[in-house]
Amino acid sequence: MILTLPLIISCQGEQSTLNTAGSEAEDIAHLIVVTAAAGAIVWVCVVGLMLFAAARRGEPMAEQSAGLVIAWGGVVLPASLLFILLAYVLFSMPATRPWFEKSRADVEIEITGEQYWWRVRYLDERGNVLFENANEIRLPAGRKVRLLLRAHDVIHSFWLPSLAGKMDMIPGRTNILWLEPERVGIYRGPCTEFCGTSHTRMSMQALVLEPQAFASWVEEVSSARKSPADARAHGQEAFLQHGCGACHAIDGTAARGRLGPNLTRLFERDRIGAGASANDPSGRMAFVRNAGAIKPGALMPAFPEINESDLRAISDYLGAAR
Amino acid sequence: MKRCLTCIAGAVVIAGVGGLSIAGLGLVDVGAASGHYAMTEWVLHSVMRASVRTAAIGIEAPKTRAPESGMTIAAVHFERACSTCHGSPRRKQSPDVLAMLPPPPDLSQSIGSWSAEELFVIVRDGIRYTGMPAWPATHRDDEVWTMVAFLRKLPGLDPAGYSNLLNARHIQKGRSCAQCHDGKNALAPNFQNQSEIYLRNSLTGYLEGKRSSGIMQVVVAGMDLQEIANITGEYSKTARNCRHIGTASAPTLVVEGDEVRKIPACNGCHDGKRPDYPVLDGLPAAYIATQLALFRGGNRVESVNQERMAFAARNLTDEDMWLVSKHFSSQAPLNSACEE
Repeated sequence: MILTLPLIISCQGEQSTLNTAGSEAEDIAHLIVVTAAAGAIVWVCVVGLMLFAAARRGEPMAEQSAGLVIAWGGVVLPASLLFILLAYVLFSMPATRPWFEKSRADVEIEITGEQYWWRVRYLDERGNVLFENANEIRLPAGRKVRLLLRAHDVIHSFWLPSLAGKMDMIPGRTNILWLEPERVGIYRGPCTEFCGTSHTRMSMQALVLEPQAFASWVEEVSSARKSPADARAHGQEAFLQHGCGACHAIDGTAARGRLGPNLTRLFERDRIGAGASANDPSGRMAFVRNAGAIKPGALMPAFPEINESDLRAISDYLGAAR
Repeated sequence: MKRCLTCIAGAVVIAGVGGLSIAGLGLVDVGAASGHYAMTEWVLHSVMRASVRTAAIGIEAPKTRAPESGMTIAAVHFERACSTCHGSPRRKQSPDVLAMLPPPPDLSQSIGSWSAEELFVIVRDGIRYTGMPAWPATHRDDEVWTMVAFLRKLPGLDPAGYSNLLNARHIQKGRSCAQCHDGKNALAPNFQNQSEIYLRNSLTGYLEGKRSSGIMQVVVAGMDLQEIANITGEYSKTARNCRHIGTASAPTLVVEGDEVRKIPACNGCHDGKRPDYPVLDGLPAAYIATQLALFRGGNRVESVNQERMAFAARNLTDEDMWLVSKHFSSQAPLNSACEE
C-alpha cells in the first residue's frame, strides 16, 4: 500500500502543499522535506540495527560494547536529532506563525466562513470595507497579505495549500493569517473542517496577480461599486422581479440583500456555489432552479415557478461581463 | 361472602343489559321540546362554567394591540356568523333559535358574567353539546381576541352604533368587501395596491383551507373559483396599480436584510415587481405584524411563496416586526403614490 502513495499524493496542481507559490507555503514545504529526511535517517538506522542484530543470530555481545550501542543509539543519537529538529522548527516558526503582529500589511482581506461558502471583504487601510465578494480572493504577488478569518455559524477551516498553512475559522473569533504569494497563478482551497452536509462542496479559488494588475482590478471594482449599474442590462429586470435581491447584492443595483453571496462580477468567477458547479449557463440555471439539489443544506430555496426564459435571462445577466 | 359477590355481579349484569335495552329500544327522549329536568340543567350548567373557568387559567390577553382596531371586522363577522343564533342590537333572537336546547343566550345579558379570558376560551373552543362551534381556524388566537374585545363592548351598543360599526352603507352599494376592507381597519388590508393574482391566490387559499382565518374562511365559504375570479377582477378594475416607492430612510432590515441572522431584505421581493408577491406599502401596520407573526410561527404556508416567507420571518423579533410593519404602513400613502 505504501508503494502506491506516490501515485495518490499530488505533488503538483492548484491544491498542493509541495507546489508552492508563496513564502509561507515554501517554509512549510521545507519543513516537510527536512522532517521527512530526518525520519528517513532514523528509519535507515533502525532497520540497519535490526539487520545487524539479526545477522548476529543471538550471539551475545560484550557488556561494554552493548552499553556503548545503547548509549549512542538509544540516547545520544535520538536526543541530538530531536534537538536539531526542534531548533529548526522553532527557527522557522515566526515566518508562518509570527510571535508578534507584523508591522504593516499591503492588503487586508476579511474572509468569513458560512455554511457553505466564503464571504470575502476587501478592506482599506483604516479597516473599512472597500467592496464585498464571495468564494474567490485576488492577491498581489510579492506583497504582504493579512487575512482576517472569521466564521458565521460553525467552525470552518481555511487552507490554500500552495500559499500558506491551514487556519481554523471559529465563530466569535478573528484568526489572523499572514501570507505572501510569490508566483502568479490560480490556486484552490477547500474547507478543511467538516461543517455540514455540503462541506465537500465548499471551496474557494485564489488568483495571484501581478501587483499592477491587482491594483487596477481593485480600482475598477471599487469605482464600479459607487456608480449605478446599467438598469437596462439584459436580465436585470428578471433578476430583480423574482426577488433574487432579497438575499444577494449586485453593487450599483437595487439588489442589496446581505444574506447570501454577493453576486457582483460573478462572470469573473471560475465556478459558482463555492466550487459546486461550473460557471456556465447550464450550471447557473440548474443552481437557480434548485440549489438544494446541488448543495444539500444550502439556505437558498428552489424556484420551480420561474419560467424558462426568465431563468435563462437571469443566468445570462449573472454570466455577462459588466 | 361469595354469595354476596355473586349478587353484586348479577346486579351489574342486569343493570347493564337493562340500560342497553332502554337505549337500544329508543326509550330515551332526545327531543328539545321538553327541556332538561331542573336537576340536569343545573348540573350541565355548573359543569360548563367550571370547565370554562379552569380552561381560562393561564390564558393571558395580548397587550400589544389596541382592542378598538378590530371592532368593525368583529362586528361584521358577528353579524354574519353569530347573530343568527345570538341576535344582535339590530335584531332580537328569533323563536326558532330560542327553541334550541339549550337556547343560545342573549349576549347583551350574559356577556358581563364572563371574564375576557373565559370569553376567549368559549369563542376559540366552543361548547360541547350546545351548538356553540369552535373557532373555525386554528392558530388564529389573534382573531379570537378581536372577537372578545368586540363582545365585551356588545352590551353597550345600541342599534345605531352597531350599524355604524358594520359600515352597512357598503352593502347597499353591493360592495360588502368594503365593509372591512375600506382602508380604515387596522386588521383588514386595503386592496388598492395588490395585484389581481395576489388577491385571487389569497381568496382561493381561504376557500381551500390552505390560508387560515376564522373570519375570511367563513366569508368565502360557498363561493366557487369563478365567483372569486369575478370579485378580484372587479377589484382590479378599480385598483390603481401603484408601484413601490423606496425612500432613503427605510430600516436596514427592509433594504439589506441581516447577514448575521440570515434575514432576507423585504424590498427584494416586496417591490411590486412580481404580481404574486403582495405590495406592503400603505398596508396597516397591525395587519402586517399579525401576518409576520403567523409566518414566524409556521402558521401561514399556503404555497411555496409562503414557505419562503416563513423562512424570511423565522428569526424576526417582535421589535423587528413592528419596525418593519410601521415602515411599510407609513410608506407611500395610497393617493400620492398612485398619482405619480
